Amino acid sequence: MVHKNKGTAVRAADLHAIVRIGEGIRGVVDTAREVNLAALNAMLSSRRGGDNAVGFRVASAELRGISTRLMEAMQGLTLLVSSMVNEVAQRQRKQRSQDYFRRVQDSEDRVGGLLSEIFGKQEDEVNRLDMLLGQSRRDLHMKASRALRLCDQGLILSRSALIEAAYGGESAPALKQVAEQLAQSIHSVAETLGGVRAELEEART
Amino acid sequence: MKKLETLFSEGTHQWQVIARDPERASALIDTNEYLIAHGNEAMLTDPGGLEIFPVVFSALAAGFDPRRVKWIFASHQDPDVISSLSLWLEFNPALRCYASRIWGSFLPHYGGDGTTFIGLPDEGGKLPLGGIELDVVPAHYLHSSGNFHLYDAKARILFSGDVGAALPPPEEDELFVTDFDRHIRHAEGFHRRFMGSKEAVLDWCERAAVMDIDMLCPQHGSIYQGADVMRFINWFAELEVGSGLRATRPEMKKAA
Ligand SMILES: [Fe+2]
Ligand SMILES: [Fe+2]
Repeated sequence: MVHKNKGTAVRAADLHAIVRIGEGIRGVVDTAREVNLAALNAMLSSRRGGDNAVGFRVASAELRGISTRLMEAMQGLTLLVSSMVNEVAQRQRKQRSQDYFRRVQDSEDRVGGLLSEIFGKQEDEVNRLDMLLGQSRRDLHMKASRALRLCDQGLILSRSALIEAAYGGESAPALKQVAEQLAQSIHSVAETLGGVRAELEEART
Repeated sequence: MKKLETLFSEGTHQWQVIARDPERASALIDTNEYLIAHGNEAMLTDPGGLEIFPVVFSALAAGFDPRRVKWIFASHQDPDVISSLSLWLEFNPALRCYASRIWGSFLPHYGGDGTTFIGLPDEGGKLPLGGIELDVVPAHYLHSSGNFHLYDAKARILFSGDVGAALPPPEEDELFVTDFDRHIRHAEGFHRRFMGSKEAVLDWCERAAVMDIDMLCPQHGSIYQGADVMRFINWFAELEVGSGLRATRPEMKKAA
């Protein structure tokens, strides 16, 4: 009765996986901040392109908005990850004490009775933590998917920025370069978030 | 495997020791846990480290109803003394733990909360147990800065924590000291190094010398009984302690 929490739950509770997810989120925040700055610079430099660069300016402003929303979304993810770390640590502590009690040799019947009561309580607690972890994992997955949709919008916008850059007159080459850089950064954010989501799906199977 | 052995028994008043564990992981120091029972209540002294909890609990439960243990007495804050606390509390959340009040915010790192610990004042005092009282004897700086021993005037037993501790080789590891001179060689290095204050040693020796003690029960190694108790007190009073300090200064080493 005490061995049933193997497999899925143990893998889901893997502290290392959560640490990797946390690192991914930090990476996204850094890149989103870069996008934000780059978009701001793009807006400023497009002024030099005058009226011709109006389209580019609009796309850059939109991109800036998206990177801000991405950073906000990452705050929510960071909170979730830290509560997951806490849940996993509690769960590991509970499992560790289960291990110690399993090593008790019950030479007397009354001890066996006392111990099964403890095992029952420990099991309930581990199950409760499993449920909390499952919930956090689902929340995290949902938030990561939402952030990925933001990235999709960002990629579309960076493509429009690239097209608009061509109308930038003599600033066109500079604007094109900025637009390419923005596209690349958003792409890398999307890749990291995709990895986070895959990690969560992996834990669930 | 550890096992419960009776040291004193008179009516419901009992002292038992959970001692000798030849199978313990070799990296862990062997410890003695004492069970003091009177009436319906029992107290466990220095219940030991996390890693040895399964054997201590098994040995205790094989000869005693573990639910009767209401109190834990922690002579000091060391991991070999009390790091199993969270597991004992898991078994019985109502357990209360006595320890020096200076460890009040340190011991919860092992488990328990504000209600678990009963802080003992520096001067010691009396602990109730099932209708009798045990004496808390100050033994600060021997070796811990908040350190207590426990004296039972009825059984004439002094639980002395790390004082009197010895680390004998397995072939000389016996429940009672049988040859003081041979035994004390295995206590000497430990006392020289772990006990840091000569003043504290003499203070303790003065207290112990006027107590009526049949058995001096340390947390590690064999139990001293009869004349060996006074032999130990005299030996300890003479011992040069604080060797760690001299080890850092070769010129002091020569002088010693
Ligand atoms: Fe100690
Ligand atoms: Fe000790």
